[in-house]
Amino acid sequence: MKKYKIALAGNPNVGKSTIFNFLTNKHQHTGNWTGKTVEEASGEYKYHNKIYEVYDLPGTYSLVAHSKEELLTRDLLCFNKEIDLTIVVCNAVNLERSLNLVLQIQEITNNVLVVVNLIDEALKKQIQIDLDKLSKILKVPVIKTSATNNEGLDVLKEKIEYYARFKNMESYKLKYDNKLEKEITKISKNLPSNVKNKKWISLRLLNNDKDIIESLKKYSNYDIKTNKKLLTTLKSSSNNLKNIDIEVLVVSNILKECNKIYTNTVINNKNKYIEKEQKIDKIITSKIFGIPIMLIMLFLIFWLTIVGSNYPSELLSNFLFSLEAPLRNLCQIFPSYISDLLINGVYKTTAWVVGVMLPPMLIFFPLFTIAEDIGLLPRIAFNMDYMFNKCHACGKQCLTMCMGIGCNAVGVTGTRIIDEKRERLLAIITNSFMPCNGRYPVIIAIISMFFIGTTRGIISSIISSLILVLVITLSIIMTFITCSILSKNILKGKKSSFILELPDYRKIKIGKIIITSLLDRTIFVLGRAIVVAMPAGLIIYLITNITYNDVSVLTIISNYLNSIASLIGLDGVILLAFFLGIPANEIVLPIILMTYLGTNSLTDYENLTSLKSILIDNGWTMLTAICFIIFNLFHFPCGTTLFTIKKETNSWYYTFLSFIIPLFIGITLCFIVTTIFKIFCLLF
Amino acid sequence: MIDLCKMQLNKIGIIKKFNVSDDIKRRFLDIGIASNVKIKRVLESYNNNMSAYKIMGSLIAIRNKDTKGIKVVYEKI
Repeated sequence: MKKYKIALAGNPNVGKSTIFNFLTNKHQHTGNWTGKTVEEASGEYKYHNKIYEVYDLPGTYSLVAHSKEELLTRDLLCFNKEIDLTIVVCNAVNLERSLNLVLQIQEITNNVLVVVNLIDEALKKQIQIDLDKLSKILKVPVIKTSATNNEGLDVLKEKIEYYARFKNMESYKLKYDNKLEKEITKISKNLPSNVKNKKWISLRLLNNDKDIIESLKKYSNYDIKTNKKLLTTLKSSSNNLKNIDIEVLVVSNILKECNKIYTNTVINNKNKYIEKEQKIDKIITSKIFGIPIMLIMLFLIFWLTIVGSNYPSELLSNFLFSLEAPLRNLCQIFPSYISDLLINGVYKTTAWVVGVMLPPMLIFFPLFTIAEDIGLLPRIAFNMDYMFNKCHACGKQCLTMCMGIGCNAVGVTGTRIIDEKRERLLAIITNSFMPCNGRYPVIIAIISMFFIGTTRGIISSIISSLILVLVITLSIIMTFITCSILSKNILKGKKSSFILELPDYRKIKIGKIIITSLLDRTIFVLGRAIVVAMPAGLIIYLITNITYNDVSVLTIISNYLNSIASLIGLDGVILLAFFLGIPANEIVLPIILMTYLGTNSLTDYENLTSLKSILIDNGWTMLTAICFIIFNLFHFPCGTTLFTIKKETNSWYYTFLSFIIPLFIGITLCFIVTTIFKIFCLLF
Repeated sequence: MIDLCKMQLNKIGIIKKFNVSDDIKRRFLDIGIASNVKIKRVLESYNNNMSAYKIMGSLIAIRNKDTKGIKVVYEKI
């Protein structure tokens, strides 16, 4: 069966991933900010007995590559000989900008299908586009879609089927300045026949694009250094154009063409809407309201998460632990030591993780997706850039920190939106300062027990949320301090530029939010946590059941750690639990309970009051609670995050730094707090 | 001619001088900042280190220090 290869290209944030998800039935993450798709995703679908392989390329503004992701897009379109059709997704609201990429892609391939997406938003903003005229000018098929509303996507499938069969369709070609065209022709003639897109490659060579020289070697097996004639022609052409900034000339030419096409095909009455959006922007980014709005938003998200997850969390825990007895009966077919291992080790740990994590995630992720979808996150980055700039970091780090509240591993991968390596490393190393979903439910529990009281009510949930906002503020402050220190030492370097698109505000799509937050995030994060929790449960079970002189290995090690832990306001059990919790942060508190109660399996607690009395009976004080929260914020990242850091940085050194720096901060802060507390107690 | 980042808010300008460092030039060209392009400064951050501009229908935030070397003249109405 013939397999057609389809590339999906476009500017950032125009809905490529939504179209990709529709075509392939996959769940690539979508959202209203630039840079979500940081790596190429591919998927297949079958239509009328033909298979289509679709590549969702990271968003790019041009085919001149700057970052790894743009290089990937450029190379696939430019050098992959097997792409049958390139779909260029355009934003109907900002068609002029999208046309810039369309014209560049038409330079390198004739087989183009233009999709004008977000047509519903354009209509709302009274923007009318003459698609037939656009198609005639561009000489390629043009269709309209509203991907989030599933409009026009069936037509897209039909058109893909129709046009993927054609080779070398006619296409609009840019014409440059005569002098430049003449030099391009000279260079093209010297390129061998196996090199595709000679005109475009000649232009890039003339621009001294070093990446294109590498890509030619890699994909066309052609080293320009071996062609002396070409090198001489290049030199002479450069001399002939020495007073001209070729890059600026080419872009000005393209922009002029874009403007001409746009003026001919679009009637824009959106000024009324721009004024409305500007008013909102002025409030959100203002000196008086900017930061407070951001903190209130953070507070509301946490408050709703705390209030909303209280009861479901208890119900779910009760349900999961009620399954223990029937499961134990089922396991009677195994020898008792195996059934014990499976139930007390694997099942109980997993049930704990699910019980603690799932309810807050089901509330937090949709709320976070709303903030992301309406276009709020880039505005937060705009407000926060001043602080990041001060500590030689990139404002986009703010976005990856937000992602880190959901899951640090996701936050680390998200740092790919930061171009400069040094700034990206700063964002990676400090990402675990943001308490992820596995940590903040435990922080909430400790806050409730030790700072507010275990009774439920609106007031206590508001105070809990406010303290949590303070905790997050501490994380943010430590991020700034750490970035500032690292920028002056091991990650020294100059400040890079910061350019960020502030997308149009979009209306909330409830259906999309549920799908995004449930499938993309909740199930992904939970699935990963379960995978980690199951073997972790097994290991924990073993070390609690292996005894020496009737004392478990766990207790022996924690006793040894007691003297060190007491210096930082903790005890040996807590410290050991953090180390054993490397696979998943969610299991730290269960391990602590298990050791305190001397049970050999993870323990359920009836409510926060009984949990508090267990902790107090084992020597917990207000100081222990404060230090536990601090250490929970600043210790090493979980196993998955460390693995992701190694993968992203390809360096054990930076993985080690990401492990040791938060740990050092945690120990130092806890030591300072403990010492102050002890001095205070001595004096008063 | 005035600096891009010193334009009055909500006034349209035309870029007349485009003289920026190489490492940021391409980024600007990608987002549509080049000679003779219309641009409107619509927002400034509360501590005035960043501005947001309407360029080709999009709102783009740029640090003020990065736009040194870009000069504009106001569009005549």
